[in-house]
Amino acid sequence: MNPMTAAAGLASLDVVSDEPVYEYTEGQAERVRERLRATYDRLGIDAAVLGESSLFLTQFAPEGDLETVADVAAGTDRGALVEFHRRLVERGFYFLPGHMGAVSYQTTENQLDGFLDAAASVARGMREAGLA
Amino acid sequence: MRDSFELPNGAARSESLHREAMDVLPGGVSHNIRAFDPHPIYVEDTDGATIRDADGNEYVDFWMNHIAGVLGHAHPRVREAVHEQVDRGLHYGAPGPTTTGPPRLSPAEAPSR
Repeated sequence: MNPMTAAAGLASLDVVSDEPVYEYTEGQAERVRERLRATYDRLGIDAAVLGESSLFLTQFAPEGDLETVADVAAGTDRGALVEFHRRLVERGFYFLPGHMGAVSYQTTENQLDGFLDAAASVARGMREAGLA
Repeated sequence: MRDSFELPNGAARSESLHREAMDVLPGGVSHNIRAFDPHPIYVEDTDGATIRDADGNEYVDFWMNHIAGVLGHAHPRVREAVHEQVDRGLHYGAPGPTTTGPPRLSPAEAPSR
């Protein structure tokens, strides 16, 4: 076992044992998912918000149940998602375009509120441009 | 598809680093998932849940080490443990006190969900 990675790994396990890491990340991610769904409903955007635990992801124009990677590839607007993430990157919220987002233990509620506001603004702009 | 990012400090340094990377790595990346248009954003520093790119732009990071960094970047307790290990050596080429630590953890002992 590499002593550097072992030291980091064991310290990480100590943190998740001692502190409410999962309670915080899962609770905040659930809040993010619910707020995103409410935003898309309010704006009239056809989108599904996926994810569990600390993870979240928007899929635009979903067709049917999105249970597998193949479902997502065939039944969603991947171009809209990449553009959504690209616009968020330009507003200071980093996503790998087209991929899931994660809430960490050090992600603050203020940062998440800022993201939710930016996501609503970007989604509105894409709808007005006919992209979502 | 736009051919550049519109970022507060621009992206000239990331673009330059990516041109250099294209000469030495397939697609300019060491992991295919990191390749995207118009170019990857090159990260050089982190703080908590924030990353800063090579041009000085800051972002709240939701990719977070391939969505696996549940503690965020360089959590203080992890950083302290790594610093202590650095002071004792980077690699021994021999077993050490931490050798059996992570492998010994059973799924029931490892705090995860």
